[in-house]
Amino acid sequence: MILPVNNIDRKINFTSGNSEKKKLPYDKDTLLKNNFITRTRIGYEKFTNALTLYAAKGLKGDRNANFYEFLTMGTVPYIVGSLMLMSVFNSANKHFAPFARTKAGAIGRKMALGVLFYGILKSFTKSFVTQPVKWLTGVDTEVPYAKVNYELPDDVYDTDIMSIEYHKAYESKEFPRWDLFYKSEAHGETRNEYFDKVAKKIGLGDNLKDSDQEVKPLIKEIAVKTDMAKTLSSYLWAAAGVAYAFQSPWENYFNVATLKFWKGEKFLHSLKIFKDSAIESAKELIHGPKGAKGFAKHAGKAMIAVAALSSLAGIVNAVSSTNKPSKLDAGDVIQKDGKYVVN
Amino acid sequence: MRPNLIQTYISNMPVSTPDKKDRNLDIEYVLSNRTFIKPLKPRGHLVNTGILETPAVVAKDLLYDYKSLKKSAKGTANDHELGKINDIGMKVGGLAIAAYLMTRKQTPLTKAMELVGLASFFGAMSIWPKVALQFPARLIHGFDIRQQYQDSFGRKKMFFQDPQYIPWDMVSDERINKIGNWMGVPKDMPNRREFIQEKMKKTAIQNNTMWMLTAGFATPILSALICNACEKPLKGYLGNIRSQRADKLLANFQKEFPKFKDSSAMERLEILYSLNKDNILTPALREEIKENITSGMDGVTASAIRKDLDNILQLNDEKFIIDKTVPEKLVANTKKELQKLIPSEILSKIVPDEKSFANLFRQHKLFGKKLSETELKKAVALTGAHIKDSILEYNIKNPESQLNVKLILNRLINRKVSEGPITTALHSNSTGRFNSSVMANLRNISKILTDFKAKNAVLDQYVFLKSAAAPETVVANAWNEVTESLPKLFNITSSEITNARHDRKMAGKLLRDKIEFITSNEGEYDRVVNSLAEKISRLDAKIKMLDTSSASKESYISIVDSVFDDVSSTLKDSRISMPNTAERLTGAKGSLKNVQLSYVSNRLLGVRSSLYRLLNTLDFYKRISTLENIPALHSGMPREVKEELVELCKKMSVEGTTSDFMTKFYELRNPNPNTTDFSQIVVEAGKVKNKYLTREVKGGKVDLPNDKNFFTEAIRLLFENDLHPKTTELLSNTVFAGEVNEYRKACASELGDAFYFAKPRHLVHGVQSDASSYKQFLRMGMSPDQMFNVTIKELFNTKKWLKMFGGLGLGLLGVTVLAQFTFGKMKTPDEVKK
Repeated sequence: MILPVNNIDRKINFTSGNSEKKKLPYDKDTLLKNNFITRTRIGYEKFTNALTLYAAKGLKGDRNANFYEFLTMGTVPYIVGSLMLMSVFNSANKHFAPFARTKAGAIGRKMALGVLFYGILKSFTKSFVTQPVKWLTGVDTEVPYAKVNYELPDDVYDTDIMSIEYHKAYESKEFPRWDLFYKSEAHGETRNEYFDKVAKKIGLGDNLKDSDQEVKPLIKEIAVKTDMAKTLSSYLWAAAGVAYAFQSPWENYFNVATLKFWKGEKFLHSLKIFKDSAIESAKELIHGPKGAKGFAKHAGKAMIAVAALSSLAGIVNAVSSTNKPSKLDAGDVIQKDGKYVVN
Repeated sequence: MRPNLIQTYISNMPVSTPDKKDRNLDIEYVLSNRTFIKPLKPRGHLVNTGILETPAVVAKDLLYDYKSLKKSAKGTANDHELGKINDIGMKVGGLAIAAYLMTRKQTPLTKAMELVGLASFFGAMSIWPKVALQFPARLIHGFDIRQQYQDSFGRKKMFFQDPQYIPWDMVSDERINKIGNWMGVPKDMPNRREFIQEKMKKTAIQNNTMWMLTAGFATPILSALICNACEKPLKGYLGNIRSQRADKLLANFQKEFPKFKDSSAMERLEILYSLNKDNILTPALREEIKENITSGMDGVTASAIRKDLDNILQLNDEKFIIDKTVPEKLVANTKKELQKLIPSEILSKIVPDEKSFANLFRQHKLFGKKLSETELKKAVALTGAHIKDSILEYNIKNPESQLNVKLILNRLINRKVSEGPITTALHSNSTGRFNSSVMANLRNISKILTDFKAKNAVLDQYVFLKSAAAPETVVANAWNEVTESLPKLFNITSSEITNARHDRKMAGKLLRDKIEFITSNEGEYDRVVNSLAEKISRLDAKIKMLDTSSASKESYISIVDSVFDDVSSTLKDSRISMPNTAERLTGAKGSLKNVQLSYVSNRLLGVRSSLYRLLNTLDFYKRISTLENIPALHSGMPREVKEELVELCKKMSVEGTTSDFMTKFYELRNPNPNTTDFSQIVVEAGKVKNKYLTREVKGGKVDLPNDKNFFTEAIRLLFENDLHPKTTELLSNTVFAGEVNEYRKACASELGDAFYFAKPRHLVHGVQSDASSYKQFLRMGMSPDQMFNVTIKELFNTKKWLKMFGGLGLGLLGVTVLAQFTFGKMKTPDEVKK
């Protein structure tokens, strides 16, 4: 039998000497709390690493560069591309003649706002699916964990061989990190506590013999379905965001927009107009622009409806899987102390 | 000595004995049947797609995406399949954005550009790594950094996607060695394959990183450049489709117009009839009928139809009967009319009751009889007098609150039949009924007008597609084609565009310099006029069918004639009898038919005048440049005046509009010109060498509004003196040569003989022209400086953008390609160096 190499418990040290080690926040793979602070910290770390460390390693052709770093660097074109897109539609306008500048400026600013709303809605609307699924099934498909990575040393003196990667426990649907969900009986905890909770939440009942085995296939199914709904709906919400940015009342805001917060009155006025424009634009998106007929009148409404429906359908689809028991026998399903009537 | 870490690990590794799971395992049997423990033969392979296979691969990938989506929805997808959902989502979201933005755009081109924008964005994402990284890397390093492979499970992945897992076993030694040779790796080194692999891996990591760092800059720029490149051909393609669509409308006119038919008015008329069948044609019902039949017509035509309907619905033998319902209506209507003016307690005292009215009509033997319209007027007068008596009686009894009799009677009597309370009540019981014969007549009228509206809608649609004052019509596209070519035609450089874009004055000055240069160079003049003539000919071919009254029954003018004339003659027919409507449609002046025709002809006149004006300006400058065909500058004119005249004409031809001061000849001149020098002006390189014009004048220069001769000679110089022989020669082969001469003649008479074009009563030929100011405006056309200014501004904007972002894109491409030369550098092991 081949045993797994578990270097976590043994804390094997591949380095020599007692040179001062880099202090890392984790010394083993650790499940993290899925809260705003953690998500922000992870996002920040990943983004700064993508711009600095991973980019430098990649450009150097470092042998430790890996797929995680490559994927993390995927945020760079996203952010840079968004800024570039804004710039493409705005930077040259200042050189144009006044009338052309005004016309191009209105379109360019809407484009920029569209890019901004696309990004915001793309990020935030994922929770429209993941949160309800979490509430309804107890499965948090977004739960992150810190992965301790051992790299190859550059040379014999290289002691800095550990790095931290941030993944999601259900990132791989084929190989979810189940191990992180087990509790330690050695520490007086219930080994299947997490799986018991999920089993109860999705209606498989209490005190299952092996709740982990019962629940794992269902969690996988939920995670796959949630991931699909989250991805598709977030793009549709992002599209609705772009449509929202293209409403004409925003032009009122563009005329007074300022980020110079030290100019108190002007800044406050700009915020007020932003609020008014946001409300009016929402109305225009829903009711259609003045004089619009047919599809043009209802297009905005349709976009919001399709996005909302995609989220809703995704939730229903993800949750519906919890209704089918997997390999439970009648003994587990029928409560022996309950009362039953046979007609 | 440093410890051997691996050895230490192995020696310290705990030894664990596996449990014997199967006590009955027959090891001999197992070993003799080893096939079951062999791994499956790997099916993974590198993917090399040829161009011919691409469609099949695309189709296969789409099928894979579809299956991935299906499996994801069922919750059974694997990681690779789930990864595809992101691509699908991005494309679906992109399409949703394009579809929405299309609804916010008005013209076919702007709508189509939304889709082009989407496609170009995805295209740019795919093209950039291929052009900037994959292709140069292949040339420099000898291998494909974006090589794909398909694993044993049919999943397609990038070969160098995960540097920690590269399936090297798919690449043969031969291929690796070949790549090594390209890279210059020594052939005799030990572990050569491993070394080459490491080098390839390093190159791929560096390229993948470069891709991530540059894509954000490159994709939007490349996408915008693709859009720019696509716009012109797409505009041409869509323009042709629109033009063909318009032509089809006229070619199949009889088949097309039923599609435009809106029968709702006819249907509403039928409903109205079914609800009021054989009812009295009350004023309200008549109004409803008229409203129905005139719906969708313009105000003037509608009023003509109403006039005719009034006659038709008046019904020759119509009579009105005063029965017991009429007094009731009289009281009710009168009280309703006056209730806002007079308090109700007073009102009940001054408005006689029903009995009183009935008695009144009985006394005058009007009650129960069929009354003609004339007799009914007597009843109206009696009713008015009866109410008046009642008010006067009230006034006598109540001297403290006198009522204004005149005012009240005005409100009650002096109103239209359809509005006045008394006339409405007295007309309410008519022998005129909404019967089947009335309905048959109305049905016929409604059908004729519905058909006419449908035919008119086809004509309007045709005109809209061809020549409306809107973007992307045939005329607009043809116009843009000519004007966009002008900066190149006139050799205007980038720096000149930058300087002259600010306003018309600067554009005008630049244009004047250019024309002076062109007209003083024989070859240049030939080139410019020929090229301009060719472009105008092309434009002319596209718009000619709009105003050519050809014998063809499919021409616009022929169809307009036939549609309007046919309906007009039908309406004049005694059985229909709608002469007012017929007159409105085809009458001599201001008829709907004339409006339909003149809209198009005016649009074309404006376009043609603008282009012929540019040609005429070139010709005028040429004549001045060569001092040929300028009899207006005759020997009896002082040279100083000649110089003033030429200067004004040069400015006027380039910058003049119907409204600015230039055409009003507000030109500062010397009131006392030199009268001793009658020599001809001197011209060098197209510019007049002024002897007098620039000198200081004692007392200052002034406008001379009464110098009629000056205006006359200006018009002659510009429009009546013969064209330069060279111009005549160059234009002789064009289809519009005759039209240019016609244009010049028309300008001379319509502008030169206008009552107040430049100065009041300065008529060149002594007879006042009847051209309207709108006609004068169209005849003047767009001034060349304005034409250039608009074009130059757009060109500057495009160039500026291209310079900024095209430059950035090129710089980025250069850096990315050059970076390849630093990629994949590795130290060759020392042993080999020896």
